[in-house]
Amino acid sequence: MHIEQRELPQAEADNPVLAIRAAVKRFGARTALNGLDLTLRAGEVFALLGPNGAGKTTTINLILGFLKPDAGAVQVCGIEAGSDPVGARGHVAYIPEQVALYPGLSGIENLRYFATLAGLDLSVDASRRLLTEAGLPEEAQGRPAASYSKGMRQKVGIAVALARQARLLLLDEPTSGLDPSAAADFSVTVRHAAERGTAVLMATHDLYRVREMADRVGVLSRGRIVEDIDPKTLDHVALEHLYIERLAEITA
Amino acid sequence: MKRVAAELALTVRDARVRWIGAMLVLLLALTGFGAWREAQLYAAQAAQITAAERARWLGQDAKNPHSADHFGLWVFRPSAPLAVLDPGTEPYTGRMVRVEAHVFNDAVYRAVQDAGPLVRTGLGTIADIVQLVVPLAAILLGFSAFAADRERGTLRLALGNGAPPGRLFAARFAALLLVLILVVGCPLLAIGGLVMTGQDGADWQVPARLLSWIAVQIAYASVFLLLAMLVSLVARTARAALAAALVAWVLLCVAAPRLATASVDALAPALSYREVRARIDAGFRAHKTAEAGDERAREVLTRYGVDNASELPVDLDGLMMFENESHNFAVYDRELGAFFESLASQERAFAWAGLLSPRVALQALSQTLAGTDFAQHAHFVWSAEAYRRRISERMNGEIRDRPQQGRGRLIAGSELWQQIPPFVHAPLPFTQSLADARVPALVLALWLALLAGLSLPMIRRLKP
Ligand SMILES: Nc1ncnc2c1ncn2[C@@H]1O[C@H](COP(=O)(O)OP(=O)(O)O)[C@@H](O)[C@H]1O
Ligand SMILES: [Mg+2]
Repeated sequence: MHIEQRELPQAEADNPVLAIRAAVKRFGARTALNGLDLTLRAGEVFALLGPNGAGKTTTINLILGFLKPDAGAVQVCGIEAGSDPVGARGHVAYIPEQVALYPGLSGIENLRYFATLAGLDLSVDASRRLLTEAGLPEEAQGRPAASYSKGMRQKVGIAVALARQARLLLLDEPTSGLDPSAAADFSVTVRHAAERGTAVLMATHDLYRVREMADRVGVLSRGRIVEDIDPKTLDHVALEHLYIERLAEITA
Repeated sequence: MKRVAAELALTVRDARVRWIGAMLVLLLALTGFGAWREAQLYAAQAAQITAAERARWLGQDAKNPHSADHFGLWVFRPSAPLAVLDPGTEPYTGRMVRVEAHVFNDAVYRAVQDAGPLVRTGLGTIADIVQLVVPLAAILLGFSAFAADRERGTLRLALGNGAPPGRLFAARFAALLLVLILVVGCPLLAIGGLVMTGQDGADWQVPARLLSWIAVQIAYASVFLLLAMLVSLVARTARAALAAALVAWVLLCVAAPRLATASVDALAPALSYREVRARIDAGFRAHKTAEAGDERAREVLTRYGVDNASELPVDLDGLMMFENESHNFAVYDRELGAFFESLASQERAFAWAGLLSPRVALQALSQTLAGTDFAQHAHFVWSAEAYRRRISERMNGEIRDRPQQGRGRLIAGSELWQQIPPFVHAPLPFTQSLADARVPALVLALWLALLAGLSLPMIRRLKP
């Protein structure tokens, strides 16, 4: 990434970028989140690990203010996401699980349009750099997005998020549409963003990627984080073992 | 501004938008041009017949002035220049009024027999298009504003990456409004320009009327644009948004106006025309009996202090005719005045009935600004009546002031006919129309405020 990161005052940098306290979210009789706690500081990469239906996307929707918690609090840079979602989202960049683009617009046009909506002014050159950075080949950048594969759309989504230079980056199953080499490139991109001070929350069930990307891994079970570990302290096998143990608890 | 430009760029790339725009421009251009040709034809005919009538009046034989009063003439109501855009009440009211002794021709609801072919074919006017088709176009432009993005998933990417919903809404609204201004406002302006080149409508203040008229049509279109966008804010799919907006269109543009008409008729009924005419006849009859006539003749002799009509310094028949007419004028003023007032109060009630449907508010506003409202027609009818009374008074006065003392009936010639000036009608000024437009303008503004007020909390809660 060649975009300069905004300087943060020291005091602000010390405050958590994301603070979720005892968040509860119910869908009818079903409790998706049941007292979730999560604190994330600048520069940290947190992997939210859990099987399908564990509540990862729900957590992200709470942070974005797309859903309101039934109890508890979600704060982004000190802003309550439930009551001021627009303010909270001002600090967030987000790559949804399914990146949807305007099929009639090219990758560059899509990127520039989303940037404009966010109040950014992105030149064509800067857009090309970002898309290349995100791994979209030059020759594809000018083609209508209708012809893009899921992975290519994902890469445009990455560029949209990177252009934001936000304090918090939310990734919902970011590597699910990428081939292995693109996923590896993406890991590098995410690490770069973290080095520049971006806090990253990544929902995934991709155990393999977690070790090379995340500083912390949380295992989501029964609507709360039951394990918060440093993946470097465990080898692959141990991590997998732990995860499966937890999974067994959930399905039990 | 950047956001608006981006939205505009995205909007005009949409084939659907281009189709809608092209259809509207074509429809407005064809209808407007047809109406303009029609108006030119009418103006030429009116000028021709007016000249012929004037010649017929001036060229009439020497005769008794009262016979000349009965000879009469036709006067034309000048069509408002902007009747090309909104004919308003013009097709439903008489275009010609016969000016003759004793008879007040009111030319109300003379309907189809002398309406133009455009109306007879039911082909629709510019006003019809603006009232019905333009809202439909606004809905077709606006329904997908957020619902399609939600359905596609692009709304999630946009909102999750810092697009503020308020600005997004404002930018999309502005872009679509600009499209509407382009495909509706510009053709209307062009038709208005055509109108201004052709006619000398100086006393109509056409430019001011035209600009305010177009502004009002755009405001009306934005009601439906807002409505469609509002539905789009919450609808899950674009299809659902379209369906809901179309239902609203049917209710507001088709059903509610009928309801408005029915309620106005029920709450502010117009006086029965037949009863009014019967009361006028009764008023005349009471005055016209032989005894009453003898009584008035005796009263005149007493007034002049003479015993015999031949000693009067004036002609007794002429004087009595003059005074009888004054009585008749008073009866007309009272009865037809009340009748016209009942129609005018219906019009006022109709403007308030715009609370049921923005189309009803627009109708009232549009006619008033175009100068084709009922007030203009009533103004014409009374000015034609004033002209008629001037003729009657001049003719009866001539008889009264030239007693014949047994030399038979007075015969007058063209010098007298020439003393009657041609009929010139000055329409109600634009300032008057503006004053009359206050209520419907307020009602239309309320609709806009209501929709804007409803959309604010929905925008704040916008979800992907
Ligand atoms: N809008 C919703 N309505 C009802 N249930 C929902 C809704 N969103 C999520 N859920 C339920 O909440 C649980 C968590 O879902 P989600 O957060 O999408 O899981 P994950 O992203 O971890 O796969 C699931 O059981 C899901 O069925
Ligand atoms: Mg999910």
